[in-house]
Amino acid sequence: MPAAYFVIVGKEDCPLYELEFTAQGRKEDQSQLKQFILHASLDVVEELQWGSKELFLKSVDKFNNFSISAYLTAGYVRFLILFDGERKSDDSIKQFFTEVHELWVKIQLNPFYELNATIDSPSFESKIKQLVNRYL
Amino acid sequence: MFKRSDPPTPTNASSPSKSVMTILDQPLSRGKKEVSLSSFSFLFSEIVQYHQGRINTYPELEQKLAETGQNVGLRIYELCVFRDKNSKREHKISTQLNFITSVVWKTLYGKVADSLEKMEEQYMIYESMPLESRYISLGRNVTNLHCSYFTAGVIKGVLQAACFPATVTVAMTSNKEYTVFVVSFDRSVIERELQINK
Repeated sequence: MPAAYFVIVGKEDCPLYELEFTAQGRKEDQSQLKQFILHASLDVVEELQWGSKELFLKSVDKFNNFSISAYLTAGYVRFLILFDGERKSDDSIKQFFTEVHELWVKIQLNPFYELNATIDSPSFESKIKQLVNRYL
Repeated sequence: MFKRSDPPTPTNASSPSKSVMTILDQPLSRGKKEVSLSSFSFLFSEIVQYHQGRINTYPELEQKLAETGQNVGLRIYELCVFRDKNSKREHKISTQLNFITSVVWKTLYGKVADSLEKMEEQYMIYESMPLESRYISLGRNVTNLHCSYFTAGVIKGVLQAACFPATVTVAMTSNKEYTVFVVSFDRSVIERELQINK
């Protein structure tokens, strides 16, 4: 499983959910750098989102060894993944994003979920981890 | 519409590992679920009465209904786009409004809106009998209250989610046959539209 950092960013550029995976046995000391790079890539995503109608934006940014893939929902909520080094094929990333999209729609249909608030549900977290193991 | 998510049901109380169904486990249905009109009308009348106790003027009541509708619109938009497999993010006003009058209307009310017209810079959606107002009777002295502000709020919520900030107001045609939802987009949206059309 490659090292990756998955984040869901709301419309107001606030992170709603973050999850980090590391390759086995490696100490993770670059979390802040990864967050910084992901935040910077939001600018690139914003430029691209007005050019294309697609939901899946594929690889949007590169920094040193990190590459970032992005996916937009209709409500302009962004799913971003930062890969450290190797990354999976576009297809499996797209399937991962589509499944996360479905989970996201279910979460925000809940009237008790305040829009643009962080997602705290433990079942959401376990489902995301299952999806990561399956597709990434 | 107004699908209530079922409370978590443990599968078998005697089994050692109790599995609880959450909203995330239930599949997003293909959209064939229906709610009876009477339960919806009952719920809507309770919503109106709830707000009536908290306002002083009719415009405030319309505002409260619009806010309720906005909440619905924001959330239902994501669901509609997700279900509609071929749809993408729309950038043009006309395609976005067409999406609202067809797909969103169908999801919420089971039919498409009667018509969509454009006059100068305003867009108007015509509906002969908005579902929520069907069983609402206004008092003798009340002439300017439109409970369809709920639907106006839904439209506004959908547009807001899609990055088309707009104000939506309700009017009646002169012969009282149609309810008109007048959509006026913000300056930024109109400029963006001009850019796209160039």
